[in-house]
Amino acid sequence: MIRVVVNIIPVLMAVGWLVATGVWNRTEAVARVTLTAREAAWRPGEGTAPSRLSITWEPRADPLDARNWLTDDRLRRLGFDLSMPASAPPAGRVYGRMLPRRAWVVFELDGEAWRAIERRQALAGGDEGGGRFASRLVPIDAGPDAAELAAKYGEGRHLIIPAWIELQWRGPEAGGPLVYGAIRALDPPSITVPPGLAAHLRALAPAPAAPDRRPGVPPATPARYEVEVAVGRLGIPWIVEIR
Amino acid sequence: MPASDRLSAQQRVHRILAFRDECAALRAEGRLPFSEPDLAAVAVHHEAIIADLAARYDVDATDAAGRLSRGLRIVSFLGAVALTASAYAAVSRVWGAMDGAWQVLFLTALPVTALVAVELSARRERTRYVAWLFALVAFGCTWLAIVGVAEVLNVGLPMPALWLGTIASVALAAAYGFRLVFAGAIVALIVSIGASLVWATGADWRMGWERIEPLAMAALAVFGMAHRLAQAGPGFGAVARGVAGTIFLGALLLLSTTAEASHLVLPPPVVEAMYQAFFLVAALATITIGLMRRWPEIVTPATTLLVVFLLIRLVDWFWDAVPAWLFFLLLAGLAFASIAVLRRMRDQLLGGPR
Repeated sequence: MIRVVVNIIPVLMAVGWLVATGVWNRTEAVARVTLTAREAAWRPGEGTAPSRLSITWEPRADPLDARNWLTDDRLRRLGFDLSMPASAPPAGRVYGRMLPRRAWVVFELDGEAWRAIERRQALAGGDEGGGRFASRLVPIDAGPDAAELAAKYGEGRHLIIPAWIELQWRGPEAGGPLVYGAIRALDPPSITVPPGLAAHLRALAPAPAAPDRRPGVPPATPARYEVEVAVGRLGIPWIVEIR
Repeated sequence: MPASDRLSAQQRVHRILAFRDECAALRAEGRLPFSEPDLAAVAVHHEAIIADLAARYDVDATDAAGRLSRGLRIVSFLGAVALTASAYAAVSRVWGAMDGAWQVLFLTALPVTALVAVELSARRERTRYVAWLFALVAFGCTWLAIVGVAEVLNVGLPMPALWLGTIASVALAAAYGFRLVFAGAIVALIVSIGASLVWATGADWRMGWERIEPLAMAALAVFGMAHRLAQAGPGFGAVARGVAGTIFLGALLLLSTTAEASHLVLPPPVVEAMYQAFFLVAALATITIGLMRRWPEIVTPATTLLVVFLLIRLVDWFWDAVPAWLFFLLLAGLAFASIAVLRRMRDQLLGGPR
């Protein structure tokens, strides 16, 4: 009997740790925002497997635009060593070898940053209607401290969530030399939809977004639902409501 | 020396059967150095030992019984895989229909039920094939529960949960002496140590696997701890050495092939050349140590990985440079050279040419 108890204890402790982490995370929300299908792509599970929502965002992939919001100072605060000049011969290798770092990223929903992007797209004439369905969630700030960012940016229009930031390097032949930061993925990359809300979501959105939807790629269908997402003190998101 | 576990009991039976075979051969050649009454007395003694070991450890007293046991182990393994797959399918089937709290309870109940089944089976049958089957299921369900609950709560997989899962796996293997479960536990232990090394550098362990040096270092550390892990159960030292040695050399092999997997910021050709030299030294040292200490569990995987390494190198260096017939001739020449080197090493270890 002792043998069984000794074997079961670590299993229960592991599950208990995970549950305690989840509960502790939800004792305080550092951000709460309502997204539409433009920003929260639904991935229905096969059969009765869990549904998941993936948060999509405007990637700000242009290096100069990336340096506007993810400045060298901010990258240094995240722990990146930028001491080597981008024009140094081994710069591409050194910056390309750096591991991504986890940081809190502030996304602004349908704010000034998104309107600036819309204006740029309109001027460039590159938008052929896809902008109506593209995510209006735009990264505007990043830092290592969630409380500091939460104090700076109010609730409602801002989603503050952990993400993986990586460095990218462009050589002279591609308009460089230039080092800049980019979001590789959110942490976690998708959010499990609670079973009760999943049924509601199925009723609201019988034609889900494409499962391989990437940031900046517009969905095939217009927005049909709104999702209230909260992010807890440990940076773990959860779905509060779907309507 | 009396046998203290099933493994050593089975080894004793093998020695007795080998002794009988050799005596029969010597008798046929007219060179039997013992008198028949002496041999008869030894045979009676051996029968008593085999009967005792069979009663206590359910050893295989004949070659036929041994073959049947191997069949039983294969069937048990397939049964365990099927039962774990069934548990996974059951979770997938009912998952979406349950509330979050019930999902967590359901996932937790799977390994707990399997662990209780292991204990009840181990008490009821001496052969422990069913217990072994349930132990494999418990191992699989433990990790299914940890990963599944983490997914339900969106919490990723925190390192404490990873370590607790590893402890649960090692505890299960040590409690019942199941070597296959212990092999899985060793893999989990290497991953946990590697994750801790990544975490110590300030990076998140989940991103650390893009560079595999921490995994290689963790495997080397476990290889060094094998003699301590051997105390956890019969045959566990060999399992730890085999799994850790394979992962260590496998990681070096990967690093010798692609510098993308390395933390080093040197030019990729330099990194790959360094790891090629490192792998060659490590593989030859492993084979030599394995032969000297009679550790077949590391000699076989090290030799296999060395052959794979040589094949990759030959393709890399010569495939575009020489005609196909010459390339394959080089391969054949390498095989002959390897045979000569390995035979020489073997002869030296056995104390001179044979």
